[in-house]
Amino acid sequence: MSNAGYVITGWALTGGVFLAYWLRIQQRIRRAERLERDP
Amino acid sequence: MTLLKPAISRALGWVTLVALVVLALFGLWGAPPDSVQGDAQRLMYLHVPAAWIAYLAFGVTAISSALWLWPRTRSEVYDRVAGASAELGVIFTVLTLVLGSLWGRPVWGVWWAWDARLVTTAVLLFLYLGYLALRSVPASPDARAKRCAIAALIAFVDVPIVHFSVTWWRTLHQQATVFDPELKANIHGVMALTLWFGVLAFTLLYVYLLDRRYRLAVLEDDLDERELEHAIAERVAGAGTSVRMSRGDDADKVVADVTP
Amino acid sequence: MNLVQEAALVAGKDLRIEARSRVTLQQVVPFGLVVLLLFAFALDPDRGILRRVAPGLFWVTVLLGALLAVSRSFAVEAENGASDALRLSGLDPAGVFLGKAAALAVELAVLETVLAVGVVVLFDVGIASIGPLVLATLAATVGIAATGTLYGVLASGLRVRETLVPMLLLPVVSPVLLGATRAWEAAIDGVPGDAWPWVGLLSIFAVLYVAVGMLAFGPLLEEA
Repeated sequence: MSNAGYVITGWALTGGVFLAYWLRIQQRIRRAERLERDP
Repeated sequence: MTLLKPAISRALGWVTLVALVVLALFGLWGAPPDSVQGDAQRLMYLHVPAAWIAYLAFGVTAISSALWLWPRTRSEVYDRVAGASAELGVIFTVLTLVLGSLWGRPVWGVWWAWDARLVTTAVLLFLYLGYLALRSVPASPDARAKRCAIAALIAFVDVPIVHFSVTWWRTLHQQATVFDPELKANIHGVMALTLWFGVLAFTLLYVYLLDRRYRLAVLEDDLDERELEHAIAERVAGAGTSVRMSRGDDADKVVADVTP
Repeated sequence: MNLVQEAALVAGKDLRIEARSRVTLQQVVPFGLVVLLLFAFALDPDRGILRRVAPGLFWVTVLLGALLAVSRSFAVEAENGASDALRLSGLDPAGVFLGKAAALAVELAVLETVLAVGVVVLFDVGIASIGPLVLATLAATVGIAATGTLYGVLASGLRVRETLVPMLLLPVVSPVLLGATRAWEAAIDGVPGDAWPWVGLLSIFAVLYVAVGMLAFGPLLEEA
């Protein structure tokens, strides 16, 4: 892999991890809010 | 319910996003490639900030834990912040290590170096994972909070000892500066600016995610508590029998003895 | 009763249980020896490798044995509501901590002595300077005993304690492994000067975690 390959992988991974984590948190929050309204 | 007011949280989210995009622009394009490392050095703009935030998150967990333990400041807020910060800490720590590998491979030809800082970060990861494992053990909120808070502080006082002993160890073997990002790269001008901007962007990201994770913790704890009350109420309403709590480590303790 | 007397009481109890049940002697020590043997199977006994890595292997084995000893130390409290009795006894928790840690340290010392003989015999290790070696081992043992007792009480009463204690304890005692191994290497190579700084580090660790243990044992015992 060229230098650029490592760089792109690193940045993409970082972005992907945070995006996935954030989405998951948002999803769990919405689910919990919904359950709190109508259990 | 949240650490930040909803409007502020939303605004922070947007600001963070913008900051990360700007960081990417500078990191991937605006900053020049390093004279020695070439483009691979661009990973430093993520690796170093991630490491800083990993340690910041650990510090927040420790301080929060201490505040919870201190009777005059005890509040479930601190327990939840400690837990949320630890989870974020794991993410940043893993990222630090992975980015370190991705950076080390093209520049030094190795996926891993027994450099003092990397090793200490690896130990930090395991300390975090231990904390999270402890946190996931079902227990009453107070019991869990107390155990986790003490565990966090035990781990926290260990980190400087680990750091010192590992640094010393690697210095004796004269390999301390192999992986040193600040020494090997001539950082000046745009590169220094980008690095500091990276620290800023990651800090904003950390605060924003902490607030969101905290909100989630409040909601899920509330749900757990309601489920528990519900389950107890149902069992008690059944024909008079001894009620046993069905969750966590208080199982096997008789809660109520209802005779018909 | 003052703190030392309370600690002696608790240590005496634990050691008496050990004397009668002989779990450390008949299970933990052989376990340690087996691990040393397995290291020889895993590495090459004929090329001086074992001799070079002997200090590290010794201390890793001690740590693994310590995991078993810690587990045992709190298993004896789990039986017959003994931990409730301990809580209600009116003994100062710091004294209980010191007592249990002391008993654990004694058991570890027995383990270490046998393993040291094993290492000298099986791995062909000669020890040049015994002084720093003994002091390093002492300090390391106190550190391991203190942290082991601390995590033992933290996890006691939890159903996952058998898998939890190892993953909590080992990262925290990694500096002890580091320091003790380096001290032993220096002692074996006959460069005692190199060992003393590590003895210092091990002592600081030991003092720190004895203090932490004395403070935290009480609150943790309440939740056990």
